[in-house]
Amino acid sequence: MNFSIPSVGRLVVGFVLGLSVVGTAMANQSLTAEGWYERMLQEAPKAQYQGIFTHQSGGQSQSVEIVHGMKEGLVWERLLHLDGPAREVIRKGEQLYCIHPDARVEQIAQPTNGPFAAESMASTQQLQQGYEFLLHGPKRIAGRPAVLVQLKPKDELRHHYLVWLDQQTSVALKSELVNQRGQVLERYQFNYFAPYEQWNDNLFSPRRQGVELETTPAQDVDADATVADAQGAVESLQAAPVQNWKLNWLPVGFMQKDSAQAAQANAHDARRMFSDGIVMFSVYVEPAHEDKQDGVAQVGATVLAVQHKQWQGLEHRITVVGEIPEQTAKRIAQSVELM
Amino acid sequence: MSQKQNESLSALMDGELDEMSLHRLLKGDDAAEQAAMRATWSRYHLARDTMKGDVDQFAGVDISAAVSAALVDDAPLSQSSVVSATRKPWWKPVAGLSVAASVAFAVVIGAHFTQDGLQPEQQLAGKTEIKIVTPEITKQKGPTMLAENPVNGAQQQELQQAQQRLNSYLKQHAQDSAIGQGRTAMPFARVVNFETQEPVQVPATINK
Repeated sequence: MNFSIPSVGRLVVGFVLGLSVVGTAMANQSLTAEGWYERMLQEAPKAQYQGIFTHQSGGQSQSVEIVHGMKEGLVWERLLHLDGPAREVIRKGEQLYCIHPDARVEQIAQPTNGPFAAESMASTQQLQQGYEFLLHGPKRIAGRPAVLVQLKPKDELRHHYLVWLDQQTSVALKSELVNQRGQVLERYQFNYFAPYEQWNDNLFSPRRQGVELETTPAQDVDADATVADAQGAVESLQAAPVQNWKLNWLPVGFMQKDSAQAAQANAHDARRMFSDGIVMFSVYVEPAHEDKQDGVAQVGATVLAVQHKQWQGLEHRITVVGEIPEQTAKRIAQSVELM
Repeated sequence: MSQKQNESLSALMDGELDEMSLHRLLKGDDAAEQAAMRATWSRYHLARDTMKGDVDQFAGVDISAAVSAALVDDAPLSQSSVVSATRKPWWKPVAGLSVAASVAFAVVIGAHFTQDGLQPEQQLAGKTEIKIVTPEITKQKGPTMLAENPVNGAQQQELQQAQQRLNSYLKQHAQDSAIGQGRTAMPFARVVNFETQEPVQVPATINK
């Protein structure tokens, strides 16, 4: 890493940080678990920090270096894989640059008119339908004082979620998805976390030598294209009409995402997404031409449940994907009603 | 067979191979290459079954010769600068993406075939049949356990399609999660990286 701050600046930074820590500590005392969580939603995007975190799931572990900040209301970030090929992602507001190991730069503009554009961060009210908020503290993560917010499921239909928040910046320093048997399905954790005070554009320039980020936007990506790409590649060549369907059962607290666009989103779309505020699952309903096996699979923290149903003489495949328990996924798949 | 193809095979075995790489893998140039690929495929399965204690007795099929013969230094699977129309960026976000959430650090869903103690290839006496594993979606690390049946092309294709489909679901879901959660400091590194998968540490014995 190359975060150099002039030595005088360091003194200033230290002083200011010290003050802010004290100030923060005093303001923290009255926060509830929900309060901390909401504070994370509000404050974390604005925080200026650099660090290294590890993501672990399904026996795999990945280390990533991250620099984060907000400039003129836009989130800036730079992420660099530290293991294996040096993939880098740089974000400046809506512009996303993917730097491949071979130094090829791919620029992606995120359109604001997609179904997620109006997506607001999950409100704690929605979360409270499915989870009980518990606060534990003080904790220490990556050498920093933190609090632990525990989202304890109110039923057996979802996993536990634990998130450790940095007391100073409210940034999540660690999170774990834990199943009801107490097994950690997924862990994300900062090993090194250091806020910086002085903004510097260079912090966000590519680490790869000789790479220039272009400023002309490349292709636009829209949600539908992404879905189509993901599915189209594996669907058989004939384009069968998508069946109209609905879910007869949804666990408490889950809502369909992009519901603002629900009017537009026809009932015939092959994929719908649902979230309870912290976990998400997708349901795909498609005609099945081959592979009529039902089953369940677990890949890391994610579960896949596949069911087949007949409707009007046509075999359909229902797939549920998400970070939910197997039983929940199966039940959701079973509750799909074709119309 | 190139290193990259070996890696792709491993990934396919674990159900982690994306459709792009699968197409590349199966684009099959010549018969010898395909034969070599099947051989390697068989051996990977044998090795895995051996480790799982699944196999009683099976072929003393020495495929090392075939593998050696097929270990040609062919041109690397295309990382060419030509971006084809179907080529996807390795991170393809949806609108409103929050990048820390989108931390597209390519994480392969599940693992490559990197279990510890991968057995060096052994000469095993026994019958000449290779155990057939029926395709099913089972509760295990990879989404599917593919049947190993090099003769039946149709069945193989079906399985590959199933595999591709599952991988695409996982990838799509990973992307959506990253976006939809909205917690900017909470990246979910589940996005499958199609084009820059981690190289599998292929044991030396396989390459002989």
